[in-house]
Amino acid sequence: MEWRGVDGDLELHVDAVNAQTEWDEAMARVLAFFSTLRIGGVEHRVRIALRIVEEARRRHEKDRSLAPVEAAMDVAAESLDHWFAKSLGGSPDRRVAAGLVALEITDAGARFPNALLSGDPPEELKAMLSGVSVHTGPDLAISSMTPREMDYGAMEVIAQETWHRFDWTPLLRAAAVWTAIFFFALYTYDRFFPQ
Amino acid sequence: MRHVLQPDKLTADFVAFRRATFFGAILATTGLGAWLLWRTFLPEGISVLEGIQLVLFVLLFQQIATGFWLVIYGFLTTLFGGDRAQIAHCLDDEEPALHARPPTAIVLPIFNEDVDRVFRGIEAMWTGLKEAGSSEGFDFFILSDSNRPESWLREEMAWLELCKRLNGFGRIFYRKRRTPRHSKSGNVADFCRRWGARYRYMVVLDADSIVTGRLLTRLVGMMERNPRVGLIQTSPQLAFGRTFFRRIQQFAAKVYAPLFAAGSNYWHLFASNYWGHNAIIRLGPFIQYCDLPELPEPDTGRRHIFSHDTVEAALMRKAGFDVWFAYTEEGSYEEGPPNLSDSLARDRRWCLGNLQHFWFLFAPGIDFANRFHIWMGLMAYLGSPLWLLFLIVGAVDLAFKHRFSLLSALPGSDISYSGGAVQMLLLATLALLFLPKVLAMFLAIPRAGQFGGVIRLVSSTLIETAIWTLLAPAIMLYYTQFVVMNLAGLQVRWTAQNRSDTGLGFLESLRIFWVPPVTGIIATTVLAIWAREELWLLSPILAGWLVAPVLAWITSLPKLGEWTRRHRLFLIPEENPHLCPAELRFVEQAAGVSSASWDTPYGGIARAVIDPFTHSVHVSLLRQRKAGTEQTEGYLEALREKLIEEGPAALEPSQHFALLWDADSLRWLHHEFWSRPAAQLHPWWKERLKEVTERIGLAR
Repeated sequence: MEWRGVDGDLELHVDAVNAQTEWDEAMARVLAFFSTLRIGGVEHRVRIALRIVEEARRRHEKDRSLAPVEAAMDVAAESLDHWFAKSLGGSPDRRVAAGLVALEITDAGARFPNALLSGDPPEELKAMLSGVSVHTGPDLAISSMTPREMDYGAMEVIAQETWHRFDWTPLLRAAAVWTAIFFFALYTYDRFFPQ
Repeated sequence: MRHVLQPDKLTADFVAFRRATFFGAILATTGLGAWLLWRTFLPEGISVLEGIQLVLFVLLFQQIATGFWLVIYGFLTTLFGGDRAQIAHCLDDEEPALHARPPTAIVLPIFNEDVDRVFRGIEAMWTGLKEAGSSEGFDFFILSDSNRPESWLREEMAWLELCKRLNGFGRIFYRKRRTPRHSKSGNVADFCRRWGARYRYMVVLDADSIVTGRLLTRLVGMMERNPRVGLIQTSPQLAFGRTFFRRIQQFAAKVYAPLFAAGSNYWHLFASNYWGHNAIIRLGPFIQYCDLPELPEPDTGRRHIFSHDTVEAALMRKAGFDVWFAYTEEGSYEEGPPNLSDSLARDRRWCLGNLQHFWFLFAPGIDFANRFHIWMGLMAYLGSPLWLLFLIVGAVDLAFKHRFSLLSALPGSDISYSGGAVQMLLLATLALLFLPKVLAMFLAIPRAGQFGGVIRLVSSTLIETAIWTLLAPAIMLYYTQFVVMNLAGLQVRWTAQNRSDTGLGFLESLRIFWVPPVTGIIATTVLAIWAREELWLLSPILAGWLVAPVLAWITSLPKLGEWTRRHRLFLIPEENPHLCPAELRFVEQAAGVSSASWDTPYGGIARAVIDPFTHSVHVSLLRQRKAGTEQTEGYLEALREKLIEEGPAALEPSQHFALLWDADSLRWLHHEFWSRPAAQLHPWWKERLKEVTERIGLAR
């Protein structure tokens, strides 16, 4: 490209470079995200990522305030949600989480490496995923476990009448004073009554 | 063939005879010791100081006598073919497999543990049960009270991986308590309230426990045969010792503990104690009768019972159920503390718990045997301040006597007037202390090959005895500190870090154990000035205080532990591959195989936010939260914004936890992290993003 030294052209050029950098970042982010999902091969992930970034570009055209990374990751999240809605159903706020856990548990990612986000999920995959449920315990069987009244006997009576009204501070002070007096007396005795 | 007594066929006379012979022997020995001491005081009449010594002596000598007679009765019953009355006799030796498989829950309460080790242990037990052909009926529950985000997240992932590997979904469960009320006992009680009614038995384990599949099955079999039995405690052996400290402990436990255990069973029979883990419990009566009552300590804020096990055994007995000790059953294991510092950290907790048991000592309805268990537990810690007081009073008394004997012009007024009673007393005390070790060693000699041969068995015993003799005075000082501070209602601080891999540094040891040498220097100086004659008598104690930091340091060293293992010192049968149960071998072989590092600062919250898989597992396990108040929602919103804008260091650990409990916040954070341009991320999060992209080769 010929350098024309016009301010307007320079700004356009900088904008273009910045935009390209931002879309590179968006692409890298989507690829990173899908890599951390540990699903599919590189080729599959790149193919999905390209599609997602393409869709993100369209959204960005409509709303310029949307950063490319944000637009791309929004599309990625929505795609996952739609895909898991077809595979699992369930409540929208936990669907993706449940789906990802199910994929990991069933190793479905290895058996269907190119299925994720590629059209409708196969029936076999759907059956595998919907068969998974993660629980912190079996069905509850509530029991009443409450402490029985305990009679501690005479010791409790004595304690209630003495211990809880007992102030340790004067006792400790007295003990410290008498210890000091004892050692002082011992020292004095030793000093003035030599063997 | 010897006549075997079935547990439910013991007559009152039989029990009375055993208890009379056991406690009679203790009383007679204590009485003899007190009489000998009294004789040494007698010629000049008993002074106040001597009176104090006599009272202290009776308390302390009965403790030594109890230990001695436990071993003697244990020795005799073992020598004559084993106790006729023990719970294991209700099953044949080769009767591990169950026909009926009553539902049994194996519960592991955990708190910031070594996650890899915990889950390896579960895998080992699961596999052991499968191999014993009895895995049906057993469910595992990992009950977490961990309060470090890293531990929590890591536990969840380890649980999922384990379930996936073993196909254990629906059989191995993981539950994290939101409010860890009443620590371990509260955790177990929470399990009982939620799922206790589904199971007939519960096997309570510690995080480091291993119980073989065979023993688990046999324990259930014993319970099934004896409907009156509410609890069976096994005798956990120490294993996996790498540091020198652990190795000498596990050796001592292997050689001496069987005799103490046999002696205990001799007198308490169906009224055993419970140690809080490696035991099977009948859930019906446990739920009905054994929830812990509050202690009568208003206004102190310490009303909950800290150490639950002994009390639960007492409550089970009070409800009319038997508590047995299956001490001859092999296959129950745990790990000991790796060094003296960790051991004392544990004792600090146990001390408070045991002191609280005092309230049950005189409570109506408590079985006599349980009162004695409580008394022994109390004396395990109270004994230390009493010994210290005894030594101080004794030294002052002897110093005065020497002074007056030197001042006296009368011939023959030396203090060695006691006609040999002092020497006899000293000899008797030494015999009571050391004869049990000799007897235990004697019984181990036929199996000496398992301990590295006779010479190594004897050498190991001698070294172990010497080390514990030197460590005991320092331990006495710390126990005294724990007792005094607990009684004064003060918090005892002890920060111990598990350094099983590296051991303590010398300076670190000096920083932790500076009190004994300082006490030793002061005591030596005082004695040198005022009671030079007592120096030789007290020299073992003074030496113990002076060398405490060095001993603590040396015994913490894994290299020394490895050296002793290579030279077959302190060997235990489980270190022989042919004698080691498969479950232990599995855990030991997998030791050191650790998953990816979680130990980076804020690694837990980072994974929950960044890693989609960890995030998904965590969110899936969280209970659906009801919409909170406007104030709560506003608080969480402010926290999550602060976390993403200012990084995790801006939040307190409790605030991290608040976010980890909230699925909405985590979803928001996960979305924000992934969808913000790098330029808009806080440097800490930016760095994490860089790590992720570098890891997968996308760094630019």
